[in-house]
Amino acid sequence: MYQSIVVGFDGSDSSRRALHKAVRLAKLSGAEMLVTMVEEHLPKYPSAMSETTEEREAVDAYFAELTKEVETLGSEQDVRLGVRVAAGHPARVLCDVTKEVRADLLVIGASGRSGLWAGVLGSTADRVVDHAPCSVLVVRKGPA
Amino acid sequence: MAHNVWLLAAAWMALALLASLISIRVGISVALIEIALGVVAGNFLQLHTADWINFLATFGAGLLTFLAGAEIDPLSLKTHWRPAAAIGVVSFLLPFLGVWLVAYRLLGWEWHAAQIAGIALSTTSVAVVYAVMVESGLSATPMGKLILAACFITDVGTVLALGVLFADLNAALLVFVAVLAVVLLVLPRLTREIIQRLGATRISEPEVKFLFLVLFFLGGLATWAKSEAVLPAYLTGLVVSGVFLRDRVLVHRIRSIAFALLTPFYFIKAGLYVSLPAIWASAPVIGVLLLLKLIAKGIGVWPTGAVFGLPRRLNAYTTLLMSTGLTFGTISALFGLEHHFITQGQYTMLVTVVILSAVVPTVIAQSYFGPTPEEAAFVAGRPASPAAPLDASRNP
Repeated sequence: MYQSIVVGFDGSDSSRRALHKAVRLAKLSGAEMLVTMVEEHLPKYPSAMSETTEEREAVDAYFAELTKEVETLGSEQDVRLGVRVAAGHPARVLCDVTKEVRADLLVIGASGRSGLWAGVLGSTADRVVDHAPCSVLVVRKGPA
Repeated sequence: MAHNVWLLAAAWMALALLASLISIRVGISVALIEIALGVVAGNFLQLHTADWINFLATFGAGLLTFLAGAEIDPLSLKTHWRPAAAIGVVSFLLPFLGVWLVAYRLLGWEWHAAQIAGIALSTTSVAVVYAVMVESGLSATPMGKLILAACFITDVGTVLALGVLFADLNAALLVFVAVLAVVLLVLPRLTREIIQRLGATRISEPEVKFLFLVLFFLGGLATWAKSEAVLPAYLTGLVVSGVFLRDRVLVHRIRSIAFALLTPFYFIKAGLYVSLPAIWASAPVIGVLLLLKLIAKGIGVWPTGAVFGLPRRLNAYTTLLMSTGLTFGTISALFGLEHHFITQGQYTMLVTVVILSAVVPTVIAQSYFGPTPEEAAFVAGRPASPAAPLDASRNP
């Protein structure tokens, strides 16, 4: 069915539902998974390099915890998965990573942590669906 | 409120706090938000400064300059010395001379005012460049380090011009240069020893006080010699950068002091003198100056990057990043205003161009010339093949 699945994960409830759905799909189809976490809250136009580095260290610590959670889930469910952490706009990063690894499915939650910009410019899910190079599964709250 | 120090401080700190909250919410640096709130406070709330605010602001600018120098990786500068020096020098020199000439000849600015314009628009913001490269996954690659090293060289040109062009050539300047040379020579070793010997008693922060003492003393000497305090601050940062690279706690402490208490006063003050009516009135000149900065950077950086073998698309990306500016640009403009080299109208134009130069080249670079996943992977030495999914990896 699928050979390579990319899933966006930021620790939000919505993205956690997407992660679990992707794991089930990967298990069913024997696909490889790449869990992609995006550092989106680094300050733009900073006045000192340390403004970026220190924000990034805080984000890294958060993602390190999430990585442990993902790896535990992968070994429990016997699914082959890798983790990628990248900085930038979530929609852009997810589409770029999907293109780079030539995934055939991208799984995301219906709403993540994109904050104010999402309200103004549209949600990450909207933009991913518009620009992804493969099929996109947007996981909504509800029965599994 | 004018004579009540506490209420005046509370008003300024309220703006600083509001800037932090907005910055966290919208993901834009607190510096830009503080400048924007300063513009609002100056134009609509009649907020004013005081001597003590001016001192905090000046020290904030000095500390930012010091941090900018201290954040360089000396090994990276050494490794990429030739291309970084070539790109960095033209990136400073062409915009400096070009803007100086155009401001003097075509815009009719006075000699010193035109020089301030040249300096303010010659800068490159290392911090903005670094943030963009983190997003592009280039910050830890050899190419990213080369670009950062080139930015530092450009900034050396800026602080040298600011420190030397307006100084009186007299005995005081000679004394200042001699003392500065001696201090820069002994400072790395002295700083290391203080950290090693007194590191255990850090509750009294001796190493922070020592560095502040050096900055105050050299700043005082620079002012006495009619030079500018940012010159010794930047050079001091440069010579202790090796120490700072190893002692992240010290960087964190100095940064915390700077961002909580000092730089808000500097950036809000920088916005305070921006006149909104002057922005509308001088919009065409602002556009010309911004275009001039971008073109001059392009004429200098693009061919130099090509000579050193940067691929076409990454060369365009590098050129645009080298066109960004923020902290040193506003520091130069405020220096000009406070020393009466430029008028408030000219200050408004320069600060507006500096802020636009933080945003416009960044947006163009990221939208049209950002490295593709393949280019980023190539530059980072990472495989860009379907085999990549199972690599637990992190964009550098």
